[in-house]
Amino acid sequence: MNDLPSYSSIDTDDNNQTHRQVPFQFHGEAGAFFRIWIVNLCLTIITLGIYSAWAKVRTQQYFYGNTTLDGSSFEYTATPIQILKGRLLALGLFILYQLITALMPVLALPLMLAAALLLPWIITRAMMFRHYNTRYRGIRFGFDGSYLQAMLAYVLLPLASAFTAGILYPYAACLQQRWLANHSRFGTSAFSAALSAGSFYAIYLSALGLVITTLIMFFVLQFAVPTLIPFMPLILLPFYFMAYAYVRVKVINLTLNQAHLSTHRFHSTMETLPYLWILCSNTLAILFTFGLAYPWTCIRSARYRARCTSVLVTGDMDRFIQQTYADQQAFGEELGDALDLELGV
Amino acid sequence: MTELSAFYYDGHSSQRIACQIQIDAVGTITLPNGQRWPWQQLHVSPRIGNSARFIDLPDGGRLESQDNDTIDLLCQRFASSDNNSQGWIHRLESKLRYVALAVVITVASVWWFMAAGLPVLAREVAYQLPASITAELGAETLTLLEHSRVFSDSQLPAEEQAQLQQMFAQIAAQQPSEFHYQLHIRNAASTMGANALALPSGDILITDQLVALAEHPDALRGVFAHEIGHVEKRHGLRMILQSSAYPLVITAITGDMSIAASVLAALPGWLLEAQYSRGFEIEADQFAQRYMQSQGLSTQHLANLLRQLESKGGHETHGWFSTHPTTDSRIKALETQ
Repeated sequence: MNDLPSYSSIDTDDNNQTHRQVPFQFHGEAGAFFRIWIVNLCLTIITLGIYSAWAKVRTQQYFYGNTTLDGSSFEYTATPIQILKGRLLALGLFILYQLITALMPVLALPLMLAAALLLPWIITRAMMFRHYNTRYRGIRFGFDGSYLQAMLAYVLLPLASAFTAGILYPYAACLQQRWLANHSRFGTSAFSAALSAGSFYAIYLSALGLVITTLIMFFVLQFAVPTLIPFMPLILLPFYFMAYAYVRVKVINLTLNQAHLSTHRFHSTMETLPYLWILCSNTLAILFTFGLAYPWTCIRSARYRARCTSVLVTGDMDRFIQQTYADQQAFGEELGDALDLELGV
Repeated sequence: MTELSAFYYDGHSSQRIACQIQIDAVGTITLPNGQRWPWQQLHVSPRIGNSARFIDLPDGGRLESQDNDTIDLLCQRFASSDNNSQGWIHRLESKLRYVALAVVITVASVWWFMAAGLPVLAREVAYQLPASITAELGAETLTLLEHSRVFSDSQLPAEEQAQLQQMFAQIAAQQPSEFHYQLHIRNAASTMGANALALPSGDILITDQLVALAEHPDALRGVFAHEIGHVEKRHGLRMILQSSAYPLVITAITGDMSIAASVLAALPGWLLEAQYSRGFEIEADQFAQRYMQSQGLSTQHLANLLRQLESKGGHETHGWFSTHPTTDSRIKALETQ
């Protein structure tokens, strides 16, 4: 800690602002995380799943605690009991859903409608919980997105895009990122990101081009080399991964590069091919080690994400002010986890 | 006197003060702003690897420090029940023998669950579900099979077909369950050859080629009883239940449902299915054996048929035969009555 700059001065002259690029750093190690992971897993098995709440908190704390920006670590402050309550509620709801659809199939449609109404609420609550329980320099993050906006971005527009052959989908993705970015706060300061729908259409059109090329290749190969037909899924999978990786990388870069927090800006330099390589090699590593390489794959993903992200600091980062909130419940977070929501960037 | 290097945050602003904190012999800490707190009143975040620790001060201020060893020492010396409750987990994580033990326990229990626990669980669930569910499962498969070019209409004379149907109906009538059994005789000369398969609905397919291979009607009775055994024991539904649990297990292990995990879920599923189907074949054999014995019939003819199938080999080794991998032991089991 001695090699870090010391921040003893409080006042900085506003006219004499300095600019500097501060990278995110990830210090986690595969060996150390493997130990944490395997002990988590073992205790979860022994306690028939109850320990999973503690396991989640320890894992999050390891990743947050090992992510630093300008020498200060991030902190995950949710308690295992909160997570456990959220998990039990989510599990109860899941079982209820299964029972109802199995015993009274007539109710399947109304139930889906109810789920559609519930989804934006779950997403909103999950974001609030996650942000509230993230701290940096002692200051909590926060989230104040509304239910109706989430309804529009996560339910109505995706539905509409399903009926319009996907034409509205990039717009939905744009609204989602706008909603996530512009309602996030650090202390009392709001993040902002001017995201244009046009740039999202550009990303998705390029991805579509990739998919169409793949499909053409698929048909050509099928006629040219019929013996390859059984291996088609294996040949096509990397291309599917590539479209996925491309969209994800471009959306992350776009959102972060447009994002502001007070006087500071963000900078993201992720690239499709390195990211794709990490995705594919992670998958293979997990496959050939029967899951034992999982901790290693988590560490290298986190390292790559950190390496590509930095903050362009103007002035100093000393003036963010804490905001007081009521404690958040973990219900939305755990339901969100159960639904595999990939939220935020 | 102990020193701890840390960042101090007052909890109201993001201002950071790097400092050396003094802790005296009774555990009182002195902050750079002159505040003093007893260590017992602080809340210290648990040690997780070598990640930064956070110490909550009673007034909302916070300390952040990488000096894990000093903090552990202080927690030990001035322990309160609250501030080091998860220390034992860190001790598990840092000792190689406990980590090795955790690997062994985890691998063994996952393996046990997949090999033994899951089949039992699937069987219990399968018997709880009404027969109408399995009937629906089979109906769709049958339509699919009929539309595929694997099977064509049987070339056997109508008289022989009627005999087979009668033989089949006799066995089916003796089953107490509510399945609606039906025999379909099909030609598969150029595709799968000698074969028989059971759908969960009670629809049972047998190929002309298998009928031709059988040297004695009791061999075919044995085949029918074997296939009916698959239906009675709900093997189709159990297979689906067991295989669909696999992604859930993967998710439970890795703790995430990422795209990678869902791809992974599909691949080793094939290996497992082969393993599971071996168990089902043995169960169906036992079912057939019990039936034949109850009728005073010999299972020798079924054993002979199996042996013939094995010796034929060639391109006909897939299908009915290939899902019966331990043919030798099955033949032996059928021959010892």
